[in-house]
Amino acid sequence: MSQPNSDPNIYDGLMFVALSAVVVGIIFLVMALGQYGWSGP
Amino acid sequence: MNNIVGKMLIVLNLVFCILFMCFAGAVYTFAGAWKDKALDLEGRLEVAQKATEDANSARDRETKQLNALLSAATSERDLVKAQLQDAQTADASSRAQLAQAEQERDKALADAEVASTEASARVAEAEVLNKEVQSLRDRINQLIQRARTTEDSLLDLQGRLASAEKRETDLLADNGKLRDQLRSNDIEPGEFGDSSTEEGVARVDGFVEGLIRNQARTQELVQITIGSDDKIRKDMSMIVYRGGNYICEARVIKVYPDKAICVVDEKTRTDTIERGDNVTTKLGS
Repeated sequence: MSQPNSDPNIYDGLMFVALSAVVVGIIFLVMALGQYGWSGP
Repeated sequence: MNNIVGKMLIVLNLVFCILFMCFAGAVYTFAGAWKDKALDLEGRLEVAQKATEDANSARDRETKQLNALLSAATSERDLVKAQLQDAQTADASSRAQLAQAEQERDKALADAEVASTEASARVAEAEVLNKEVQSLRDRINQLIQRARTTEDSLLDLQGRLASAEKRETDLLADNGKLRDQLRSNDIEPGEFGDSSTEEGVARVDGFVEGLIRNQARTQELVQITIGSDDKIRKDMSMIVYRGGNYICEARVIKVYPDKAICVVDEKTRTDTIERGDNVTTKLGS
């Protein structure tokens, strides 16, 4: 029986950075689409 | 092993997420330029479309104008063709008239040449006639001169005749005086004369055989049928009568054996002499 590791390691940080990059990329796309008069559903 | 794969997947996930973010940033960064470019292109497209429409409308107008010009040119061409045809017809008629005129001109020239030749002949003939007229004038002048000379001689002869008549009158007067002297001396004149008196003339009858008058109709000659064989002598006085009518006396001027020529004494004429009238040397037996 293994004990859950509660301490975040480097990979958790990398996953956080990757998620942040995705979010930023989506924001860029939304802004780019907004320039063409795109409106949300 | 699972950890290693998980870690690699996490790293790949990170790499892809970063790439996604970069691409999204790039899209966001260059999207403005692309939009401006697109708007610019749209404006240019509109301008080009407008220009195209203007060009099309201008082309349509020009096409209409050109069509109108074409129709006008076509009608004008037809008119010009008609005029050309008329001109060709007129040209043909003019050529025909020209040919006819040339024929008439040639004919007139030929006639003129003939007339010129005839005129030359007439001129030559006129020259000959002029020469002849000139010679006739000269002849007339000569004749006039001769007539004047003849008139002069006639006047001279008339003068001589007048003097001779005067001399005859004087001689007759002297003869009468001598006869009166003879009678005063009881001598009958003619007592010692010859036998050729009127009393010695025997009666001889004849007929008028011919008559002729001079041009001035002042003197008439009579040819009678008795002559020297009938003892007719020159200067005898003949009596012309018709039936019981006395006509005139005539003096014998020329005697032939069987005929004689007498000149009528106009002072004794009572009628016109005709051929066949009787002639005698004396009336009675």
